Amino acid sequence: MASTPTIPLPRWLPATLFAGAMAGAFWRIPDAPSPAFALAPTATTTVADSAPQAESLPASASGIASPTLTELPDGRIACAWLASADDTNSVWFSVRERQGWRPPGRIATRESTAGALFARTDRLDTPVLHAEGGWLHLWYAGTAVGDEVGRSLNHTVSTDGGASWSRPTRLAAAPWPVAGIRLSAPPTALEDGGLALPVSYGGVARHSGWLRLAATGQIIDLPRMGDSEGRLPSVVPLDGRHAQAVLAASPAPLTTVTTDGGRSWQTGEALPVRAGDLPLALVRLRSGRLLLAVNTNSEGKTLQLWLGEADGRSWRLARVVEEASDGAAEFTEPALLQTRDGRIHLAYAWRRQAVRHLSFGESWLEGDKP
Amino acid sequence: MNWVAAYGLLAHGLLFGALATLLPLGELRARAGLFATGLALVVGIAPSMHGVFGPPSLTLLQLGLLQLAGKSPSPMDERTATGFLFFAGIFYAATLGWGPFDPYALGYQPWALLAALLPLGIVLAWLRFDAWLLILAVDLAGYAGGLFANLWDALFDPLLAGVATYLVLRRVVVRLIAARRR
Repeated sequence: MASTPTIPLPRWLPATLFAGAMAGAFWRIPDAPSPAFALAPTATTTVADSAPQAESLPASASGIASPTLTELPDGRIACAWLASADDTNSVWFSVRERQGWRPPGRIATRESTAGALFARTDRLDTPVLHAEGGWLHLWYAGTAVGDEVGRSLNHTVSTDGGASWSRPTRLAAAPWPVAGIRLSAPPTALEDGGLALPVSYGGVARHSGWLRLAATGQIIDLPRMGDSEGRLPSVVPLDGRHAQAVLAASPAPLTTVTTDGGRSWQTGEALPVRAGDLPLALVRLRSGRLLLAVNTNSEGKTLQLWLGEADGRSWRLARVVEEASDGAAEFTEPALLQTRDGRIHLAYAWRRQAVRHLSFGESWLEGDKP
Repeated sequence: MNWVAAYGLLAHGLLFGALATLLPLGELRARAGLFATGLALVVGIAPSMHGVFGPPSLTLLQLGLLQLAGKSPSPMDERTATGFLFFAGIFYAATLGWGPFDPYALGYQPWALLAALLPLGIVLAWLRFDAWLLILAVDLAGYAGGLFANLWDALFDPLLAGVATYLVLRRVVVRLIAARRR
């Protein structure tokens, strides 16, 4: 470094500025308590009517994809999804009132995202909705050019049940925006008030990560999830320190497990479930058992529900939700949620034309005929 | 106002202006740089760069500002660029998925990184490399001020690696041409 420009400063000034900045940087480091999963409380009421109820959400635009569910503090169900119109896609949102689903509205568009981030945005992708107390979080991926170039992870929040949303902000989830970041499942709540989001990275070297957020929303860790090869993970906590992630893969979903609250992940065994390489959904029921929604092949013509024991090792086919062989048949990107009243909700993209919502009690999964 | 987003947009505008000053325009270079900065902000070049590359590092921004201000030679010479490229190659390979360890994650809880930068700062101060010491101080101040959630993003970015690659390749080409002329 022989030829640096001459700066006529007192000798002590650069060193003092450096020392001050170093002290400030040390002070800024966020707290990161030892991670532990916060398990959902047991159901306060039992579901009297276990029979399934199926409905389609009100129409939005075409090209329906990636529905995501959450339960609001007052017990209503909220859903967000992607839909396309005029060569551009947006994130739509609706809430299920007592009399049915409210007419949907757009809550994130490429224009609103570009305007907030001061960055070109071509497409939106993979929204994930999550209610945390009075806050409603929405994370979604955005792409600057085409489908893959300049992908970033964005976050917006609503404090009035989805009526209005804050200007989105970009999350520093990768050193390089072209890394093909995607979301796949809702976050897992942590005991320290934080959340952890499973994300997958495409591009040259694929892998999946566990994006840990502090209670303040700051990113505080991003451990790798075993030999995931960029597959889309869905995570359930088994207890305070153990969790299992199921990764979409063909011919069977793969697993990766953690025994230290998500700090490190080790590759587990493949599930004894026939599956395609499409996004799946996993939820831990109040009974402790696991429920998996999965397509049996990569064309998405069959959507099944599999019930697993609490240890995640033994599984059986519980229900066939959709099955068709025509060319337009596609029942994909399921989302699962169990609400506080014990009822289970499944949403999925139905033939890319609508979001289909199915709700049922756990005992319906015990039926004789799948 | 999203200050982080505003930083990214403005920084890319300035970097585009700094790029324009590399053109052989003689006395018009400074004006061309300012014009290019404004042009980038107005016609969508800066938002596109921001979307594709994300917010640039403060190191790259400061080097760009020095270029825009006509301060030469730049602190980033060929030897510095070579050393940085060697480090960046290993860093980005690991971060993009090769190997079990992701060094990028260290930047969220940068205790070890700051501990490594402390002796580096002491060496820079001892050898009176004030430019790099100030650049590093501004990087750390940017992180301390909340401009970056990850300290690595304040220190360097892929565009800076691109600049370093250009400097290294230019040196190689110049040497090749000089060798052929002998």
